[in-house]
Amino acid sequence: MPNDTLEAVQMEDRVKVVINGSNMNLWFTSEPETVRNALCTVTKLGSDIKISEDISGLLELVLAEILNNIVEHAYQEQPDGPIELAITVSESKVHCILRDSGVPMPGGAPPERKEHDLEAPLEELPEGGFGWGIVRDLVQDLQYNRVAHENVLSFELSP
Amino acid sequence: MNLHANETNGAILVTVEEARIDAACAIQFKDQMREVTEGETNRVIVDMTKVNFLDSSGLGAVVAAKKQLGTGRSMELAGLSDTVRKVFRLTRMDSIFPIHDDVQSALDQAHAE
Repeated sequence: MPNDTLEAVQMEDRVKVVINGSNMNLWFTSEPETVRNALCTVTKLGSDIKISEDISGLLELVLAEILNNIVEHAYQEQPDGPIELAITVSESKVHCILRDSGVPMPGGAPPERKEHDLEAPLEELPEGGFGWGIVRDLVQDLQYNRVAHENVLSFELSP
Repeated sequence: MNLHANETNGAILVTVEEARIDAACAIQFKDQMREVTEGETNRVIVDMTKVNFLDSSGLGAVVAAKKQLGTGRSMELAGLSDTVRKVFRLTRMDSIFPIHDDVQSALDQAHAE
């Protein structure tokens, strides 16, 4: 059996992981602690699907921003919402697809980068609204579709 | 969330004893920062050497910690990893916080002033 058809199924801290060649699939639910476990799993096992070290930190950051958005907005902080993350590495590029069954994204598209007034007085400095700016700065080919009752978001990350 | 604080060279040095400041612990970070920075000391230096991951929720908590110090006190950051520093740069929050390579250079700068 060629090596790239070997499949590894693992269960780590409420996160189900399947690694198959250059693909990693994860299934988990919408609690912040579980999302953290999923992110740590991607970073820990990333080298198994040849995610390079120089991209691994940024991938975790981008995934954290998108997953926090799913937890907060799609599932509106409700626990047990199913999330599926599929990661494929091809020629050092990382391609990700995220699926959730929460409420659709308003306007049918990921929000644009929000411009903040950093000259504002201290008490008016922004404490949020940074997430999509970070995502849009780092990824290529960000796409969103509502498919049946699912949100499907995909992007690519290059070194 | 585990923050450790002590007074040194006229500053409160807060050491973050955690690998992550993320959505799962952002509120605890903000609340503990309030506790450990109680008092009058003007200068607060946060040592983030042990933090290898910070997302925008964590960043929001760091900003909130600065806001609760008020205008009379400063909050400076030291020991940011490359990825953590990148979050500050992408959001331009590096213009709000003085950022030092490490705690020693933060303390040295106070002597020079």
